[in-house]
Amino acid sequence: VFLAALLPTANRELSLDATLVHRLLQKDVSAFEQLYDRHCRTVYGLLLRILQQAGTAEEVAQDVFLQLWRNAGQYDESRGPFVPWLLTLARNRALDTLRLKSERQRRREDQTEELPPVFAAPEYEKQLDEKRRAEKVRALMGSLTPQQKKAIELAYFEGLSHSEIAAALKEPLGTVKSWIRNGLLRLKEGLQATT
Amino acid sequence: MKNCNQFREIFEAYALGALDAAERISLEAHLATGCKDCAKSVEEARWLVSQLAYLAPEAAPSDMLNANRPRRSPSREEVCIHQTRNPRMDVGRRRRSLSLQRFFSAQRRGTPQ
Repeated sequence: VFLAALLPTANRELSLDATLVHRLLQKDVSAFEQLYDRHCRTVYGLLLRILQQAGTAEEVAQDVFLQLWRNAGQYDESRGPFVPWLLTLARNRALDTLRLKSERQRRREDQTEELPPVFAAPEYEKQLDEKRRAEKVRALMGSLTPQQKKAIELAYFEGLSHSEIAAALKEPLGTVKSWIRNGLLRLKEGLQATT
Repeated sequence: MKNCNQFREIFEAYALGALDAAERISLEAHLATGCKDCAKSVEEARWLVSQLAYLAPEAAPSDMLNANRPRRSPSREEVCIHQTRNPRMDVGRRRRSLSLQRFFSAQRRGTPQ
């Protein structure tokens, strides 16, 4: 705890998440409570944005945290930070729910519990705490062209493919691909420039 | 088989899940060959895409979800209150909600699930 206090804020946050997940492996309920309190608003906000229905978003949020409780061992702190992994898990679950609803299927409790891979973060990731990162991402997205922003949002929040977005926006496929790629590269450059 | 340069432009779209099937299958076949450079690029793209989550404003879940957190085991009365407060909650949702409560109650008691 003493050493953790000496770390920069962002690193301290990363370290605390990793410690809490490690305690989850011992089925430490208190660690689960802390992880829930730290991240439930971000997770639920994302789910609500994707699913657009509070009840469904709550249901999926329960599922996400239940998956975390049951499968904490699938998170490997040496491979990457916790929060991006948790948010990817939440997004995957939400998009699965959207697709299932569109197919008029009901989700079953015993559905696959496959979790996303843990992925490494670039070095500059450690320089921003969550609040500053959220502000930065929003500002950078605000600097994109409306078309780039719209295409990226359709892909991220609605799970649409290039060709589905092209059809939805009535634009050529190549144009949509360029919007998404150039927009994401601009976001990446902006985040890199933060350091 | 494409070489790495030909995949360079689709890593971000792959991480975003926006690739159409043919491109996705082609890239996944390449990754399955063990190309470390492309695997690293995909990881970086996944991290970048994960940052898009911050575009969604934070939101507080309702009392129902907060009540399901494992701070303490819910009493029978609390379960009834949740049902009363959410009269439109469908049967499936209610069952899952109660299932989660029972799950954490069991963890508290040390009962294996």
